[in-house]
Amino acid sequence: MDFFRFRGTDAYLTSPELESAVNCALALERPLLVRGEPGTGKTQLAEALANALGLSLIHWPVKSTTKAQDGLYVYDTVQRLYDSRFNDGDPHKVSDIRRYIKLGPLGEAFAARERRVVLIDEVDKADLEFPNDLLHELDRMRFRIAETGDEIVARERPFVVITSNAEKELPDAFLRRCVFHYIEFPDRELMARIVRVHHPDLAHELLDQALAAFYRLRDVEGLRKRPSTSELIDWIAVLRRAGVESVELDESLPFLGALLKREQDLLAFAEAMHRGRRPRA
Amino acid sequence: MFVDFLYELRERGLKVGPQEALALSQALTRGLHETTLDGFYRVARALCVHREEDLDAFDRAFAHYFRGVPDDALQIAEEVLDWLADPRSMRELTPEERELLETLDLEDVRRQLRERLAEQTGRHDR
Repeated sequence: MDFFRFRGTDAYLTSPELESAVNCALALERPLLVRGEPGTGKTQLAEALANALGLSLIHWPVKSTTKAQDGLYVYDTVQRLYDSRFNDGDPHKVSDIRRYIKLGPLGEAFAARERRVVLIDEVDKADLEFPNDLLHELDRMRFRIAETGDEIVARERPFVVITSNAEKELPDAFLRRCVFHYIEFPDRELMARIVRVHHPDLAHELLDQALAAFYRLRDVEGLRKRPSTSELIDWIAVLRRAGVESVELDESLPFLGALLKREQDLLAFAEAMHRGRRPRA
Repeated sequence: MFVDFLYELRERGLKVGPQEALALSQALTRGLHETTLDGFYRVARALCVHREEDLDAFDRAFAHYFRGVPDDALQIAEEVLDWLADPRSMRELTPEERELLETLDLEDVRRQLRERLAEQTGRHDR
């Protein structure tokens, strides 16, 4: 039995656990659920995966108002009404309902000739029933457009990657159907490698000090939004541009706003500094 | 042994049952564990853990359960197949799962498994 074994790409560093999860999802034809803190690279994982498989990625960013039906198709009644009232000619245009049917990300994936990777991003943003409804559509692999009577049948089963932020609740039935992967926040060693990808000429000392400050900052009690990978990378960019050569974690930490974006976190930090002269490790 | 492991997970609060057993057996018969205990750990983790809060409990269950077990994935796979062949285990499956099971020719699966393992020339290291 032949199936693709995912081994990651150069630009995206993987682990054996991740590779196992991806290969299970591929072989068992189940969605891959990727959970992790914000900024741990969940979206990039899906992109790397599509890359490695040589398939196009369809990105579906979920919002609080998103419904499973939106993934299939949307009937743009407003546009049709507008056209019928304001367009001078062409009654044919308006009467052709198909012009006003727009396929959603899943619909597109089903209608495509080749296999697609569908990334359903941040599924925890929609309401609690959304993931279950989604599974239902994925299992059926076909749907009917009520307005035209057209039936869309998936030629190739899309590979589905679903991301969700950690600590958000998801329904059990959905969770048990997915293959699970949790992206741990990178440890110092991995983080150093990630930073080096973005800052290849970074001085060794500055890197060490920045990492030390960063990880201890993450440990400060009471932070609402702990600084993540992208914030670290941006902060280092700022330090370098400003010509800073060394950093230490105390009140004078430069450009703190690049790491802590929330007012209450800045206060929590100041408090921690004031209290113990050092944050808790 | 394999089913007992699932019960061990249940005792530690993980929501696992016949669904996970079926998924695991499918994964094993396709060689996704690459015939190592490490591989089995990763596959079992991906299929039996559903939320990050359960990761630690899974690790403890695994360490406790497989402590002292030789790194012989063939043994594990054989036991999965034995369990599937045992009529008593039918009772634990849903009608849909029983249907799926009927599409598998277990003797054929056993033969394929032996062939695949015979092809392996060495043990894989992590």
